[in-house]
Amino acid sequence: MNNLSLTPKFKKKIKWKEELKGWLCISPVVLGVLIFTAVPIVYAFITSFYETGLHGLTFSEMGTFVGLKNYTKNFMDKFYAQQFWQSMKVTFTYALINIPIQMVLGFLIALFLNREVKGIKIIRVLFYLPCLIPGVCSGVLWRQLTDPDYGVINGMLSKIGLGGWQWYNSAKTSMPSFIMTGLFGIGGGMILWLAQLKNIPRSYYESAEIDGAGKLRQLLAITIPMVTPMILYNVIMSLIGTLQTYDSVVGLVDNGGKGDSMLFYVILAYSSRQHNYGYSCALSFILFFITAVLSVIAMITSNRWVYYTEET
Amino acid sequence: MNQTTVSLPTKLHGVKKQDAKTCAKRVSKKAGYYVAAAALAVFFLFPFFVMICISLLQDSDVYLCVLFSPEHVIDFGNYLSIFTYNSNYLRYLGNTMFVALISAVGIPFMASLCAYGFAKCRFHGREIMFSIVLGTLMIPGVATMLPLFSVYVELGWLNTLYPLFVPALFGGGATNIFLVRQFMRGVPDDMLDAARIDGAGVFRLYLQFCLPLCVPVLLFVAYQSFSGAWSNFAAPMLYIGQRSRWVTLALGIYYDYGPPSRSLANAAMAAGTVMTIPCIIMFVIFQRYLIEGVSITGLKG
Repeated sequence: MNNLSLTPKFKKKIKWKEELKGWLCISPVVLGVLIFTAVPIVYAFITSFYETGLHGLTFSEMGTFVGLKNYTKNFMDKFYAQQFWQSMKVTFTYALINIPIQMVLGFLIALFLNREVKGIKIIRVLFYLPCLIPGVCSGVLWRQLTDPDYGVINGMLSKIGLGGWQWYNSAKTSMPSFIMTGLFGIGGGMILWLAQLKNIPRSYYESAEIDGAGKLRQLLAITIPMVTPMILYNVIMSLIGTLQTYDSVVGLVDNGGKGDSMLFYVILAYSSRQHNYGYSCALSFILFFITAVLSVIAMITSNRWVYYTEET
Repeated sequence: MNQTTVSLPTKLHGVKKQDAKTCAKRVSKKAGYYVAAAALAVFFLFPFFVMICISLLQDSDVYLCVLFSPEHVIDFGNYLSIFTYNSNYLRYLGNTMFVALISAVGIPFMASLCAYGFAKCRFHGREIMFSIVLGTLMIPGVATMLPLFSVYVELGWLNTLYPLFVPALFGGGATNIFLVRQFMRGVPDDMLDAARIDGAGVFRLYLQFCLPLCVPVLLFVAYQSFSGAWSNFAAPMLYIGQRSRWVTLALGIYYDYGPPSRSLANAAMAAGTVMTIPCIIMFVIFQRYLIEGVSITGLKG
């Protein structure tokens, strides 16, 4: 920061005022974090040591104190352990396969659309359209389309002799089907990449071209370093988003699907809220812990290669 | 920078003079581009196309696994039943529209104010507060949504629309603050210092310099807030009962056409199309701002 040449007295006065104004600027989020995050999180933490139902739940009634039972039964109790590890398996299988696919394909499509030709805006809109279908809607849509008996997609596939894919009606095909239909949502990542690509000053490419750099060299030396802030953002958001997958699955299958093959973590946590509220809160805390560890890892490892414009 | 602009015209001139062979090569390259784009567009349009086709089928055709009626009948009955006076869907639509519009205006404003505080104001505790706000990103929605139920019971907000938009107006969410702050960091400090010397206060710097420069990212946030509020499902699912006056579209579609129901595909697709169309209209209006982005070097003159 450039220090302006002001007299010390004057400088001090400005500082005090600036301090107050800064806090004023961020006061909405400070209040918001207190009321809508801190209060419920503390409350949930306390509740996770109690056994209680959701009905008639207020701050004063807490139910029976059970200590760490809500946490330990994920490992000790056979029924709970099986459900818990199944939901972990489903969620992380989906995250590990889906996020890299979505990020790489989203970036490639953004590169493909990042040029000035006639009608490019229409093409971009067309690519993004499937993302505009709200989560529950797309769940309901795919549920109807992929019904093995009267769904349109199997109707079309059987006409060309490819029938018999069970989609969400079998434990084996549910997850591959979900990842496949997720491909229609690549436009979401694409639009974030595209905004970032547009921010790269054209003069960089012009001078690179004059220096004789080819397209590949320009991609490696200009484009990729310039979009790295977005990689950080995308990785963190995708991880957190995937761990919270809920809407599209709930619209798609009943309670975790066939053989719990679509039992995402949040669905497990929500399904037990009515009668087992304390256990739901304990599950939420385990999820919180996993999310936090993943985010911290992503932040630390990416600090080395993130490029901020102001640090040139 | 200056060197580039000086040497550029000579280069463009050179391109124009190239012979017919390179010209033909360029045309065929362009055609290839359009073919590839069209192929991808067909893929991306597929779910949408199917949704509209099925929504126009008659009830008797649904079980035939077809996209078009064999008798060439186009049936608008499903849409008409949605848009009749006093239908449930008009009520769902009104509720959802109300929440979405408030979010689309309020969230970008609040998020940019907070982002400005974090990016450009200097005060003690800024970094700590920002890490706390970022930390809330790591708190999964479920961890707070379930206990928030009890908070809303205390506030008397159960079965109202308040839980769907009031919390979001407090700062606009960590994601949006993070995004706007990343963008605002690109606004050159030299420019703000220059304005500060000219006597501009903190809030004038925000309204007059940072806000206009951040318009693209703010429109992106506004658009995201709108579509987020429009398709929000988990919150109404938890806080609004099936028989409440304030059921939103997403909740209505889940109860009427989701796994708990046994409905016909054509009615479900019609409801889905109606829910999706406003999102498309918003996107078409804003897409110019969404993708363009602004050149963050504001010191050109």
